[in-house]
Amino acid sequence: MDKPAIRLLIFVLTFLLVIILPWYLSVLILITLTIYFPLYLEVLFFGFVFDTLYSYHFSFLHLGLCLATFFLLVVMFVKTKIRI
Amino acid sequence: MKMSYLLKSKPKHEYRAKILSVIILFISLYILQFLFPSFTKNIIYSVSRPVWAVENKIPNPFSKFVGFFKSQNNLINQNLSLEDELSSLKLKEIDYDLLYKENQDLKNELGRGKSNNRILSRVISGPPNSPYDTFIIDIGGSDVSVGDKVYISDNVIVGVIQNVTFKNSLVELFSTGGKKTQSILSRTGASYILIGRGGSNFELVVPKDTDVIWGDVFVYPGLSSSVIGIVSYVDTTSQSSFKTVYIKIPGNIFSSKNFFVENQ
Repeated sequence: MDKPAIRLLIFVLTFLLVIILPWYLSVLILITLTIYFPLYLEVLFFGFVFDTLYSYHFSFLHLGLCLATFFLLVVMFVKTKIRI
Repeated sequence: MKMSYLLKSKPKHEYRAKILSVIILFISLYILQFLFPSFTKNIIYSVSRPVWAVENKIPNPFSKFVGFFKSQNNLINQNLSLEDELSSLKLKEIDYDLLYKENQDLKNELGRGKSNNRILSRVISGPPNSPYDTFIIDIGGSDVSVGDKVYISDNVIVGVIQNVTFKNSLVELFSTGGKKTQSILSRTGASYILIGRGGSNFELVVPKDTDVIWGDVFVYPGLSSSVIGIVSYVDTTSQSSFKTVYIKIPGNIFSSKNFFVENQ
């Protein structure tokens, strides 16, 4: 199985888990995947899904998306320094 | 003469390209969510609904896990105490039914009878799946509207509807962290503002000599007097001139499968 297919399969599986599992387990899985994959842009999509499904604060509706972006940028920066 | 050449260094723009891709995707999703919130909600709910339907049909395999490790003696004692509690609750239920009927008769005589416009809805997702104190229920469209009150039983109110899509609605609990809710202490009639702390809990900070005690019932303002919460703990310290009252929604709201929505 080639890499894009594996990544797609993991995306679908993660989407199902994000919907079914408690939020803290979903976040743990997303953190692991973000660290494991070289550029895990899908984490932004899952932050977007969290906001869309459960968020209601009209003062700041995009907390999940912003946190996912911040975390992804931090991981990218740290990876350049420690060569994972 | 042998020439030595410096190795070509890694192109620096590769890192910039990654940062740019992250920023572009972030802006795209942000704009999509900002400009089309209902559309995105409908799409995500439509995709999630079959998954929730399957999840709700499958029994929780871990529900009996904790009980497996309890000793037989503990289970027997627990069973006996639950039987006693059940017997006393059955007696209280009889008293409640009589008082409820008397209350309804009095209200009808005064022309303020209770209108039965509540809709039963099923909870399809909520905490701990949701990181907020929100639930998703299976009614939407024209059946409900934003601001409709939500109950878990006849007299226990838990929140309001905040968002409505075609087939689903988002319920926000009054106990959401930071949310302020007007309420009345049923024993004294005094009005207080409860502050949500999340997880079906409220907090109230009052002067130390305020008449609020353990077991007091807070009700939602209005004729129907729906219960918002019951005082579960009062924290007083000798140094402070205030006390913190902790209030909890009665029952276990997070294991509730059904909500009742009252149309305004």
